[in-house]
Amino acid sequence: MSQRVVIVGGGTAGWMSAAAFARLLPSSCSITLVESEQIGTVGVGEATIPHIRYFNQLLGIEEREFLAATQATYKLAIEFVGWGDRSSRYLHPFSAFGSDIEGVDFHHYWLAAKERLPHLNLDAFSLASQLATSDRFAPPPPYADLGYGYAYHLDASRYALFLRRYAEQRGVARCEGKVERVEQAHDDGRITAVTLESGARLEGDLFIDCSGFRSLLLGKTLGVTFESWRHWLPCDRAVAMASDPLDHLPSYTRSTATLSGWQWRIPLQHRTGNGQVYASDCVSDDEASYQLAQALNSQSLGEPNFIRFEAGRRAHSWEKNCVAVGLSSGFLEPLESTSIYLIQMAIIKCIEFFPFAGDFTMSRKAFNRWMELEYDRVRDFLILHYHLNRRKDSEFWRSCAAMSIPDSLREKIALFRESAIIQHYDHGLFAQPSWLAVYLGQGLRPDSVDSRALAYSPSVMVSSLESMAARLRHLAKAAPLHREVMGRGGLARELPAAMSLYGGGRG
Amino acid sequence: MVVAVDSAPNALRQLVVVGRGLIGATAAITLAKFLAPSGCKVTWLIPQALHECDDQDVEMADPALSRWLAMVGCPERELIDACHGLYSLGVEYQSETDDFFFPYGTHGITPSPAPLEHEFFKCFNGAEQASFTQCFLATRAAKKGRFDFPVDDPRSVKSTLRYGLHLDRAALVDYLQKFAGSLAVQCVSCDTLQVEGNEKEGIASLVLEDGTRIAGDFYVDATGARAQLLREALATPFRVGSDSLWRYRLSYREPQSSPWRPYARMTRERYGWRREAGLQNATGVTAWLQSPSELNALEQQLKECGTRYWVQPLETGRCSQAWRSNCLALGQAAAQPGELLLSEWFWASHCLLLWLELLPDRANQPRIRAEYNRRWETAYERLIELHWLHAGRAECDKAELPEALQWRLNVLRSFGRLWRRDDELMTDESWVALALGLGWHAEGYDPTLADIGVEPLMDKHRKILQALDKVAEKMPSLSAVIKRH
Ligand SMILES: Cc1cc2nc3c(=O)[nH]c(=O)nc-3n(C[C@H](O)[C@H](O)[C@H](O)COP(=O)(O)OP(=O)(O)OC[C@H]3O[C@@H](n4cnc5c(N)ncnc54)[C@H](O)[C@@H]3O)c2cc1C
Repeated sequence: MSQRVVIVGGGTAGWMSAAAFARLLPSSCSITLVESEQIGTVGVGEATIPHIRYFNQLLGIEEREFLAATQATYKLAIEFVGWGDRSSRYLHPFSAFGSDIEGVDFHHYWLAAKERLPHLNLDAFSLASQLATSDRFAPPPPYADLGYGYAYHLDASRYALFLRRYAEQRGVARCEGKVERVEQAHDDGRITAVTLESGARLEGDLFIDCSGFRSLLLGKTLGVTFESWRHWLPCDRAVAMASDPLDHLPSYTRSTATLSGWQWRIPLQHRTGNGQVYASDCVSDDEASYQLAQALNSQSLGEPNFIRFEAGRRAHSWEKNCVAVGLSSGFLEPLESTSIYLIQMAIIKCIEFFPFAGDFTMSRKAFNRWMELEYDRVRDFLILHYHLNRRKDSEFWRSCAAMSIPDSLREKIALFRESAIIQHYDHGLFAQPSWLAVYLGQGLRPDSVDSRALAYSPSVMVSSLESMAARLRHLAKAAPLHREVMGRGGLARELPAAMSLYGGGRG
Repeated sequence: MVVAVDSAPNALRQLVVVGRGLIGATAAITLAKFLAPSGCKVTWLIPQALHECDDQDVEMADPALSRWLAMVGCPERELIDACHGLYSLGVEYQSETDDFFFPYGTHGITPSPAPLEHEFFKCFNGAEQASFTQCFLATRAAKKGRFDFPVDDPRSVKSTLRYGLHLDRAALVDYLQKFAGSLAVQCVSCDTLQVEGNEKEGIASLVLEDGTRIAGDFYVDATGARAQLLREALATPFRVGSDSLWRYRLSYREPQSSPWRPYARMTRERYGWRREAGLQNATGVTAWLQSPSELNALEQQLKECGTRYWVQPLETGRCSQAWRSNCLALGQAAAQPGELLLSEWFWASHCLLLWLELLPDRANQPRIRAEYNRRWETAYERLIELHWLHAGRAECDKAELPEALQWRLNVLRSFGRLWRRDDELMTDESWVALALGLGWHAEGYDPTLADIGVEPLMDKHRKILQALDKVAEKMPSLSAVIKRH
């Protein structure tokens, strides 16, 4: 079971890979990571989803230590402002909404009673949402029906540094320098070594390409083509800008739609991460940067960082003896904070399908098949946000609403429109509660609901929903402010994490 | 809560279930239980002449049946008595070369650091890996003839148990018919039945021999392989599968073995598989055979002993859709995947619950139908796979296995991992246990075990077995449990 693993790239993907391999691969495997300060990292990527807690726990990382090292805060939801129509505002929390009533999904009852409950939106039935809207944070209570997941906002550079220390302590060798040349075997084209500018040569059996958008090994060297999804996800630029930390310290990420894209706001302890994602044929870099500066909630810190990208992925992420992890394998915009999750998934699957026997064929096939499914399902969910808009105020949004979408997504939307049913699948990141949040949040009204939800006397149903919401409001009020929790350095005791968006509860 | 019928103008109000057997009974009871509270009436039409039933048959149900009984509020102990039933902790597999036990439930051992089965992949090569299932309390208890009910407390190892039931099928149908009556299902017996309807508009009504016309908003076809509604009236095409692994199913009874065994037994025979499922007063034997000459030979043998038996030719395949228009076909009326390990009841009830989850109303809702048919088709494929898994070593060349199964087994072999998919019928643990027992093995294992020696792992397993045996010893015998009723 001995292998020489060489990781090219020391961004989030590179150091997450190095740390996980150091922890989980046998001691007979050697791990080397090359990174170039001169090239640097992409410098963004601050919002995460609950799976990162599982990753940290797998590595035995203590939450409080992690929070201090990465200046992280807690995250319970994403708020979407101006998606749907200009005035719409909804949360996508890491939780379900309400609990089933006699085997029928809660939202059918809510839809049935909606006319009589104009003051109770869907978020009134998620404790995570209730906490987020009042800038509070608490770990989920021990009642299954109220469970939720939580994640972090983190400083990506500090996280990489934190993991670097972790990995180096566990024997990962780090090389500073720029990879200049990649050597391939004559017979089968597999990568045999990389040579740095300094002349240093690193041989390996397995190469992990974490070189970011450059895709140095998978794309440039092995020629794996890039499959563009730009026709579905039209934004191709971003500008990022840090600003002072927010006093009230929200426990959620905010995503605000603009005329030709959207802006993020990510609250950290020591600063706020802001950015604008946009389509370059609708708005210039200067204009985007100006719009972002106007929208800041606090004093800006430093210069804007402009980033170009294209949505899509490499035809496959594992080719010969090279596995691409992170931006080198593809990019889906950070609308639902999925990139670090995809990095984590790639690492886990690489370990699960590790080619110990020296035969890469099965490893490659299994890995590629799995990652393709992950990417496609995340992709469909992101497209949904763009496609399901009712904004008439810009050509950008009108064309998103009119664009043709993947069949897999069209079927899902049609099913919900017909019957308020959410297509079921067990694997893939976003399950029923997430689809529901976006469908309803962006104003898709189904033609019918489950008839069992209509069978109850409206007044009885209304009072029962009201008391459910009151219970959650009450619980939320009793929770401390997020700012206070962070002031204490985070939770005193961390709960076990699950590989689920909803904290191992529903979905 | 108070029911307000008027507020759901499109809700289904009249359901008609057609079929005389276990599937019809199950559908009528389930629908009455879950839909009557919202004002829906269920009529169950029982055509006596519909199909010849095997009154010898034993229903070998996996734990889904006891879950269902609890769900619909049917008293299990009374039913056990009425059906000469026995409880079962799993299935013992026997072949010339090796034996293994397929336990119900789970082992309940958390990964530390790798999932338990990987420790066996590390310690053993080949067939010995199946000893993984020894780490289930169900396996240890069954072998000692012991049985007990699962407990709710997750700290107790008995919380890992689940149990199946062996029941006299004819008595089961009688019992459920009475139970259905108590749930305000309107049971209507008839001799023959004429179905009015067509492909375009669906089922219009059912006409009994005396001219009585019964109409509903929605119809459940549980008329067995004949599929009087879905196939005959709605002309839904049936696609014969290329994969009829066993072409005959033959059943008969043998005298009861004593003492009672809390498990069923599957034996690999020259002709295919032979299954024994014990009742209190007899043992039901079912054989799945491939060739007509083997069938003749077995029939001859049984005739010589004066044993009554029943033969059903099997035609594996499925209808193009199980739900068309206002008609849902369940069990053999929709498809014939075979029923080696999971019975027709399992598959029909699984699909019925899926339909209930989606529940249409009276408006035409083509998307819900498409969603049901999509998931039903997946369930069918999953069931068929189980048969290939049973056939893999003898009845077929491994190269013939369906692609999805072949892939799953390749991943298992290479990495010891189960390829995760949507809509599985079995838990991952059960699937792995079965595959290992039926002759597929893993060559790879979780890398976190690489630095751990074999001895400490084996030692850990020995300790687990000792602890399980201690608990199993204290469990009552199956006979004691039944007598305590
Ligand atoms: C605008 C934007 C916003 C984002 N927001 C989020 C978010 O909120 N949440 C989230 O999960 N993700 C987000 N992402 C994605 C996230 O930033 C990345 O997935 C993550 O940072 C991983 O990047 P990486 O390590 O693959 O690449 P990089 O950070 O680009 O790292 C590449 C590494 O490779 C090295 N390298 C490159 N070429 C060479 C060479 N020739 N020799 C030696 N070394 C080399 C570089 O020095 C660097 O160390 C966002 C991305 C963008 C573009």
